[in-house]
Amino acid sequence: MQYDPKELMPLFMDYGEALLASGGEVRRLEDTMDYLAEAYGGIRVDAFAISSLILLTVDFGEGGVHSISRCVPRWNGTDFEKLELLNRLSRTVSRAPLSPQEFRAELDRISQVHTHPVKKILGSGLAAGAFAMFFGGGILEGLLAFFFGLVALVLQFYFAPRMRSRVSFLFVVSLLSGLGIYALGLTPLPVQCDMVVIGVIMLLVPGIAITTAVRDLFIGDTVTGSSRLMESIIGAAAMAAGYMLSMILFAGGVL
Amino acid sequence: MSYVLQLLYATLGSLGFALLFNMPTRHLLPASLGGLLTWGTYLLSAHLGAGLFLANFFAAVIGQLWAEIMARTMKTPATLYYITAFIPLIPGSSLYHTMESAVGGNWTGLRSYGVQTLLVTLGIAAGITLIGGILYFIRKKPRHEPKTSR
Repeated sequence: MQYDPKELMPLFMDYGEALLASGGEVRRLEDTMDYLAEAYGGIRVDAFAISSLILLTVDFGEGGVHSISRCVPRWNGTDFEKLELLNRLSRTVSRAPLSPQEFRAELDRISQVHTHPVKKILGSGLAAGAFAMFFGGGILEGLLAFFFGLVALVLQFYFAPRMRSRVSFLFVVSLLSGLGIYALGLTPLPVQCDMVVIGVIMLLVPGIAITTAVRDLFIGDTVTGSSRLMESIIGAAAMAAGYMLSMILFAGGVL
Repeated sequence: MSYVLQLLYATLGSLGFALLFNMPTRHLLPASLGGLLTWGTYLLSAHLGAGLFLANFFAAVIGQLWAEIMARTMKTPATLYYITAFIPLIPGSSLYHTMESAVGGNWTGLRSYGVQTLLVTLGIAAGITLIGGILYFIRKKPRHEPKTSR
């Protein structure tokens, strides 16, 4: 036994947490735990994960049997650059194990990766604009959706750390961006507000989440799949409530 | 709307999400092409008479193949490519309209949008699972040897 398992196990957990937090699948996490632990001399590896919990038990032979678990935040973002770097790290390690210090240093370097703000701004604007036109809006709706995509992004930055649950977060962001968009109906601009709304909705609606949830169900990750499926449905309901409330406020003449 | 415009917007939508998800620059172009490819497959299948489920299924099969090929060529997780490729397919708007109908008490809308969301989701998931299953099956030796503990 070259390295101290007491040092290795928390490292594996940090790796796993980073993988989930950057959008890695539960199945990928379990497989990677196997690779990592085997690379460091694990004889038998039992890894289990759901979207908010990682469990790992490794039998290191002479080094003894070690177990560790980690609760991870439920709100997993997606960061493809981190995901790629983490994947590369696990490949490096399974070819030739790094020392725990090197491994830690690599993880720290990856955690420094952040999306360039210009990339985020351009991305959300482009996605919202493209979908407004994809669903039948014109150039005007596309441009307005581009703008409100940015508004939704700013609202996300502000509210995401301040809200306890995803549901209340989606409700508030939908309500506020909806109020902004339906206010356009009061201006002389010939805007189809619904087209702008659908563009912005595509940014927030858990469409990817519901698709991957059903995929998880199909491949047998039933717990993760069902919880993500319910989260997506409830999240979409919260958004619908937010946008409908903003529409009613305008249509009913309250505002 | 013309097919050309739809394909353009689908590609731009994939590009937008790729940027939003911090896609490394070298993957941006091929990842957006994935969106073009899936929506093209969807349109072609629908044109040839495939229903909602089958059209999404075929599109997902092509999208997943593209993701697996690009993952091997570019040495990166397939996740980067299949998520972006599926952006035009994902039932975001029908999921939203389903819940909108539910919140508004529109039961006809709830049923038709709900079924639409269900079919699209099942179609995509079936496509991913099929390709994933085939690849796992043909990949060299079974990876998990029987585990033995002391």
